[in-house]
Amino acid sequence: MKTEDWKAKLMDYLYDELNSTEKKAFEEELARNPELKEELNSFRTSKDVMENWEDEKVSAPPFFNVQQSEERNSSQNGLKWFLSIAASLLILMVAAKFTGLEVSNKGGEFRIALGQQMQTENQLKKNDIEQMVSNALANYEEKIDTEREGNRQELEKYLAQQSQQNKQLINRYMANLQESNVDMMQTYWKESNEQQQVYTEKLLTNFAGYIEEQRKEDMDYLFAKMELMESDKDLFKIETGQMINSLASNQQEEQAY
Amino acid sequence: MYAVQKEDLISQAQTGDTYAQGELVREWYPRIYNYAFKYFGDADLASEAAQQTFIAMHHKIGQLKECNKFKSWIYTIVTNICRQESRKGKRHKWLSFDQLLPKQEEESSPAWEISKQGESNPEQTYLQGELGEILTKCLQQLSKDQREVLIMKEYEGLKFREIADALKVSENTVKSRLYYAFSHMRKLLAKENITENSVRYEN
Repeated sequence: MKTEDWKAKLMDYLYDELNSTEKKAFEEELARNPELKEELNSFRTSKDVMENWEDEKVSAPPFFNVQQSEERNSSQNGLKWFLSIAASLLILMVAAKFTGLEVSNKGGEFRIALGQQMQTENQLKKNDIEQMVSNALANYEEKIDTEREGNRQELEKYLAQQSQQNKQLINRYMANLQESNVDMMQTYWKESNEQQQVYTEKLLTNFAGYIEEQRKEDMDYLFAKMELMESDKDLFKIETGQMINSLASNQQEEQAY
Repeated sequence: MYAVQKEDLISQAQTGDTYAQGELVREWYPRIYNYAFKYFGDADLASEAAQQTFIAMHHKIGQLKECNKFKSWIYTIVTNICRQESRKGKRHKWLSFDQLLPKQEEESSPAWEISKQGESNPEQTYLQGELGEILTKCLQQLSKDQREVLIMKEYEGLKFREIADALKVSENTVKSRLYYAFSHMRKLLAKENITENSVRYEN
């Protein structure tokens, strides 16, 4: 019968975690209980199968490694800084020794000398320095004025040249323009004359035709009028005759009475 | 079976010595990763859980009272993280880009061609991969309690006392869970037609 105790013992035996007494007792029970033995064997089979599954081969991600190396370095940072500063000071001291470096600070003056100390007697005084500065400034101003005058003259000369060149250029341009205008006007007048002549001749020809036509029409009109006058004269003659006859007849009748 | 505890290293790590902590990470990362890998059957989740474990270790190692309990302590952390991730996993199914992109090597070449460096026997590599897939599938079908105990005992080589400490349960509970885990695994392996003979034949 499986009890929780036997299940626990079975697991202990499977993983060889029983002491010798317990192990012996369990093996005796196994010999007596084939069902338990069969179960143990089946578990061993499963265990053997599972044992064949190997682990994945992995290593810690780079983040952890970086952190590790940085942190390893940081633990020695203090010592490293101290050694660095000490080494720098040593190098400076050795260099100062070989170059004869002398540093002094007295009388409000801070001096650094390499090889030989500076002679203060040879130093310039404040007035000398001011004089030198004012001389240098005066020389500089004079130089600037000279340069400015030279530049002005050059500029004027350049402007005069440019002006002369511009005048010549304008004159030449105007002369060319005038010549071209004259040519153009001559050509225009010539062309215009010819065209007007042709036009006048054409106009005269047309006018002569018109006059001829007008004369012909006037003559026709005159002839028509004259014919009308002749017919009127004939009619007047007839009427006059009739009137004379009438008057004559009337006179005869009066005489009869 | 695996990494030996170095109590002086742990003591140094507790004082905030980050170099010692780095050494602990380097030493324990493969073990913790493989525990999580067998727990989830997923490399991305395993990697995530392992990293979270060591971040937690960095923050909490000062609270560890007994250095000789480091092994149980770190398995407590990784187990808690695995449980949390497992609960999250029920709500969100994360996919890595590797899963989304087509795997060219699978399409163009047999699996033995991509055997890992150092594994000289391609056939062995292939069979390992196949066995790993089957065992992963079987482990995923165990309850979380049974799976934790089985991995800790079978693959991590913890003593029953250490497992009991890690899981905050009694030793008998551990053994009982392990017993039922084996009973279940036996049936699952039989279902997959995996027997001792088949594994020996393959080897």
